[in-house]
Amino acid sequence: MRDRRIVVTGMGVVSPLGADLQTFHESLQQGKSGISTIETRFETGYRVNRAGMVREFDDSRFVDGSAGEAVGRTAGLGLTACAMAQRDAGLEGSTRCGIVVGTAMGEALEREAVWEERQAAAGGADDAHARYDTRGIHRKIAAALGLDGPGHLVASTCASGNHAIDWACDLLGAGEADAMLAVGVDTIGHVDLLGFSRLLLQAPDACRPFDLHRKGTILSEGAGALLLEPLPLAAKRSANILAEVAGCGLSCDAGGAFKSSVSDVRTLGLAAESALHEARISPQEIDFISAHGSGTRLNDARETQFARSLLGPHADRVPMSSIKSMLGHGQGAAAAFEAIACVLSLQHGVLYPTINFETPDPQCDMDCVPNTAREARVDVIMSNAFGVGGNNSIIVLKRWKGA
Amino acid sequence: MTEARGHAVITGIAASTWLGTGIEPLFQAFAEGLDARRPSAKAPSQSQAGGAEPAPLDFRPVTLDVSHLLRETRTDDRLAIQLLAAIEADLSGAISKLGDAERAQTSVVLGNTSGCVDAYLRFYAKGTREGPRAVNPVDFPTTLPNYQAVQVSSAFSLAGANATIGSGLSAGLDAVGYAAARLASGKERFSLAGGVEASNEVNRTLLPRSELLVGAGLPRPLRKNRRGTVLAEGVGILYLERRSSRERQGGGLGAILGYASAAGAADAGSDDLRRRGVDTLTHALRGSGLGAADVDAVFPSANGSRRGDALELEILREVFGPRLRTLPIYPAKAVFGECLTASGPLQCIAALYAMHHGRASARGRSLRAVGKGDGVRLADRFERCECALVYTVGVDHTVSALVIGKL
Repeated sequence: MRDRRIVVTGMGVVSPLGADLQTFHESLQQGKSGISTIETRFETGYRVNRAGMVREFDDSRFVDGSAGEAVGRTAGLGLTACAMAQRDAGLEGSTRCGIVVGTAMGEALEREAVWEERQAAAGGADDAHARYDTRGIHRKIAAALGLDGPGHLVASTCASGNHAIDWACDLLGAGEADAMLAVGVDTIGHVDLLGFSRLLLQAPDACRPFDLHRKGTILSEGAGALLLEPLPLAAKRSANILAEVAGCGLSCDAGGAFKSSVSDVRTLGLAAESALHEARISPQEIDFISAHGSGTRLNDARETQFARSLLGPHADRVPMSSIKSMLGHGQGAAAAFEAIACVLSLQHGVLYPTINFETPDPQCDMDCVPNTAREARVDVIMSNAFGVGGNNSIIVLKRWKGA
Repeated sequence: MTEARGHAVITGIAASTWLGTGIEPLFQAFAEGLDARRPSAKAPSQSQAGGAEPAPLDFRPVTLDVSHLLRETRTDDRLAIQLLAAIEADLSGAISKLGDAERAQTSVVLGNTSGCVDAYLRFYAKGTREGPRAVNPVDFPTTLPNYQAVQVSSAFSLAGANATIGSGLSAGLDAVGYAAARLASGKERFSLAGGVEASNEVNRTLLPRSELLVGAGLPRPLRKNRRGTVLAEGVGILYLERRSSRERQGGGLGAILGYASAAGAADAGSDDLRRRGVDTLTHALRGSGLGAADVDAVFPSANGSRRGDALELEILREVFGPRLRTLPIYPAKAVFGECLTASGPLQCIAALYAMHHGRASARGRSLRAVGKGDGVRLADRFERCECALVYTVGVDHTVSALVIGKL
């Protein structure tokens, strides 16, 4: 249990639905889709050629352009989101600020490019220019922004974003920093597309969480950053507090990749129990669930089973929607996107919809806020992120009502 | 990290190194002394990703005998196999005593920076050169950075947090520090934490260019005649328990008293790295409620590189001052080589060996120093100690430090 309450004072997002918070919020509220046919570098042989790509990424708007070029696309997305979050919080150039980056695949895109360069150079040409960059996403961002606090990177597949938030909160609670950037980031490499395609986890056209005819997820890229502070420090500088990170919980399915079943929700319950215990609330106090909602047959049914098991009869009063229907599955960025969306929901009094919903599935029988956003003032949101391999992470966010 | 002070107890250890699977071969090597002559090993087989021929390395692969694990886990991932072999050899007895509720409170936290690279590039090469249908979908999970950690959780049904720390080459110690902090905060009750490293495309490509590697022979860390290091594969795992639950049973090998880390910028100058090294070691000591005077043994990161070891000596001189001339320094990489992210946890294991199997202190009489230490006291044999400072300074300029106290 943390001794200090942790609050969100800034956010930054670079996503298929916009590279600023206002556009992100409006796009989600309007039920827009950020999915499109992807570019030719992934052209032939794939079952699916649709993804959520960041089309408005211009890091020169936020940081020095040369730094953006030097760090690669993955770190560049993260860097842009972090700079945005610092600016949002009014903490640019602050001291004792650290970073935890959560990513599923790391700099896989850059790794592929270096390997291709090495193939091209093989046979006598000088390949000294082709090298693997081991600086690490978190260290590149820290160097560009002058962060002098702790710096870490955690790879927990699709649970990475929440895991980064949890770790950042722990470091703040321990007094290791005065502010922490918790970032989720990923880009789409060939291996992603190959893997999801061959595992038949990709939908051919759209991501339809909880729909009877859902056929899988759609990959996307981007970065989401939350700037977190201990409440006493945020209050001391009269920061604009956006929400409170009340609790976090982690667990592992421990059954190996893809071995979970719909009815086996025990380990999801472990993560929820930890998060709710830390938040000091009961399941009946949850007003809304931001679902992992990846659109796969197994996840959506299992997540519904888990929610009903956790909430009991209260589940009939708790909406559970998935913004992956609009953004796609951002992998390491997904949970960060969803955390930001949760904060925006708390601020604006709106629940973002699950779009592409046409036919109810009896196995997914919770209110998924189908297709149209809904005005609703909620106070407590639980945000789920369940990763490939069985990494589970849940965070609880509370409306900020004052100390 | 004051909250971790004494709250995490080390109750077990597991290791695999080029000397063999399990703790015994490593402990036997420690008993023979840091300067014992050992045969060199050959470089491992080349990358299967079809990459260009890397420069030859004096790489020491782990000796494995895990045919039964291959059947049980159905994995051919070298890192996962090393990990499972080490844990099975050294910790399966302890883990088997855990009930379901306890396994639900056991985390797996591993430091590993580029372990999935070879699997990733094989998958990539096959898919892009032969077409998507050529890849086996079952191989996709092996391309993910968290694959090895998940294999451990799965093999032993451990449902607590599962984390792969990719913070850099000090990630092994970072994993131990993070796991200890989670135990201290009550989030879990047990943890398997450490690091694992194997030969892969990244370290085969980068490190020969770094002029760190010795062409032949053995690494001679901190010696005046050092010429470079030897890259090695390895696994180092600490089995941790929350102290409050351990106290009822008593015992344990050591307590994690303090931890600190500094990531920093990779292209910062040596002055910056020296300062961060001093700050990190000092911060770890401060967090443990101790000072430099309380440390009676140091297990450095020193791997035999000329510049790297020289920088560490500067850091140690600033932290310990004149006391450095008499403080025992055990550069354990002379035994197991440079294991990158596995090094930090293996250095911890060396510290625990010294605490429990070291000879009585040489205080009052001089211990034969082997070779000429470069301004430090290099002892050949481990002496018993009570408080050890373990730290890593990665070639990527990450620094992490851990203070371990004997129980």
